[in-house]
Formats: sequence, structure tokens, C-alpha cells
Amino acid sequence: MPETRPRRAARRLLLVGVLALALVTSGAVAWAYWSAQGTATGTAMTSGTLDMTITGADGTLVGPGGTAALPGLALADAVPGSSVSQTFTIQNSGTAPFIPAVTATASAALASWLDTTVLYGATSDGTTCTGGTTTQPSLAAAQSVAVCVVVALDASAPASAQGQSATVTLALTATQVP
Amino acid sequence: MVRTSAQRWGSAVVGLSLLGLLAAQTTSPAEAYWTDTGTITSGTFTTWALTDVVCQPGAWGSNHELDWAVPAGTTSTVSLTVTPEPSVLSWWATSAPTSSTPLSGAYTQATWGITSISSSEGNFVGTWTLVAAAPGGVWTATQTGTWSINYASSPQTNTCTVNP
Repeated sequence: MPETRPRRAARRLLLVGVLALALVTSGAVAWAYWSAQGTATGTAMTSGTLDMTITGADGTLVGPGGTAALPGLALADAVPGSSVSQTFTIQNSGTAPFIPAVTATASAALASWLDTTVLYGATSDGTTCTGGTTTQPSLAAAQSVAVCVVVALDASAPASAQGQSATVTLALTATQVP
Repeated sequence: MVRTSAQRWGSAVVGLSLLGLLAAQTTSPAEAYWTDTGTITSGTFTTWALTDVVCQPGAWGSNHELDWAVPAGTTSTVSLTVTPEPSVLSWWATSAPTSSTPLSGAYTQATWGITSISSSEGNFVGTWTLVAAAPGGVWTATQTGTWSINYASSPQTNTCTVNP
């Protein structure tokens, strides 16, 4: 019995639907990636340490903060142009790298007339520093740098500076390298 | 709805404030770096000075004595003036300092006097000047004073003072 035109159309539609369903189900296979789950037991995480220590002075600055003395950095009966130099060493005794900075401040009446220079990596001959740079270095763990400090009475210091006294404070700051 | 100028300014202020807040938050991690600090204190710095200037006339018949203190390496010069100048019946008791010969060198003491055998020319009044030159020659310090020897008075007197 010959099929009528509407029936043929219905069969074609059904066939297209089956094919489409087959394509969709075959594509679903592609979505089914393999996966697995598990728990990794890692080692404990510990934080680093930042510790700046010094040698060559009376004191070491172990741990955070601290004070030390550099009695050799002194002048008696100084006249304009007199100078003294002294070295000490900054060491990275922690695990985190840092950049050290040394800032000098003179006290009292001579504050205006004491000129202070800080050089990293320089050597001292007792009156001046040789070599080095004013650029602060970056110190990795266990690394160190010699710091040379020169303090001079300004050549233009007036007579009113006679008979005065002062001390110089060196403020040290180690800042972690990011 | 048409916004007024004030409303637009208000919106701009709010927007800028939010941007500032965001900027502050983005810079905050930089402040969280670890730091360690310490302080090193130097010895004492002292400057050159002329100190402890004292002039004492001493007992009658003794020389005037000027004393002072200066650091090593200092050159000190003491100069005198006197009126009247010693003449025939009076003379300087020391060779230096006198009114014509200063005392100069690494000294910390100067003595002088005038001997007279005539009370008629025996009232001597003078000044002294001490100049100390620091090593290097940049700094000097000066101190002055007066002195006298009076053979004409009764009792005879002598004085020596340090000017303020």
C-alpha cells in the first residue's frame, strides 16, 4: 500500500529525530572525562625569619630591635676638618632577604656641624672610608656587608662650636625584600 | 532627569573617594613587609677649646702667673701692655712675656713681673692677651685681662684679673 505523502514526511521526521538523539548521546561520551580523587599529605609550612645582626661593635642586635655601641667612633678636641671612621658588619642571620639602611643623627650643639657619611662595602683607615657605595645592598640569608661610617667636623664650623660635645646615633633598619 | 551641577560634583567626590580607598588598599601590602631595627651609639665627640684660664698675682714679690688649658698641638701666645714702661729704675723680671716680647709656643703658663727700686715710677698698670691657635690654624680663641703692680701704694699691691 503506497504511503501517503504525510506519512513519508512523518517517517523522515522520526528518522532525523533518531539521528539527532544518536549524535547527542555519542557527544556525551566526550564530556565524561576521567577523574579521580585523593588526599595528598604535605609537609608542614613554616614561616621564615628576618633578623639583622651586627659584628664589630659592642653588641650584636640579635633578634628584633636592640642597641649596641661603637665607642671607637669618637673624636676628642676636634677642629674643623677632623674626622674619624669606623666599620661594623651587618649580617642577615634570618632566612628572609632584606635591605639594610643606616641613618646617622648627631645630637646636641654639634648636630649642625658633624657631617656623617655611610658607605656600604667600604673599608676604614681610621679617618676616612675607602671604596664602597651609598646604595643599600640586598642581603640574602647568611650574607653580610661591611658598613663604614665617617664623622667629620665641618670645615666651616664656627668658633661658637668650640668646647661642645655630642654623640652620633646610627639607626639601623632592615626591610624585607619583597 | 536632569542632574544639577551640585549633584554632579557630589558624584565626582564620591567617585574620587572610592578611587582613593581602592588605591590605599592596593598599597597596603607594601606596608606589611617584615622589618628589624637596631640602634648603634657612638662614643663622644668633643671640640677643641681654650679652658681654665686663671691669673693670680701671687704674694707681693712674686711674679704674676697666667695659667690655661689647651689640647695638645695648640700654639699659645701671651702679649702684654703696661703703662708706664719700665725705665732706668725699673725693669722686667722675666724675659718673656714683656711689653716688647710676647711668649709664644706650646705653653700653658706665663709669668711676668716688674722690679722697681723707685716708688716714683712704681705704679704699673697693664693688660694681657692670650691667643690660642688650634692645630690646623682654622680656630683661635682669645682671652684678655688686666694686671697691675703698685710700688707707690702702702701697702704695695698687685692684681691680675680675667675679663669675662
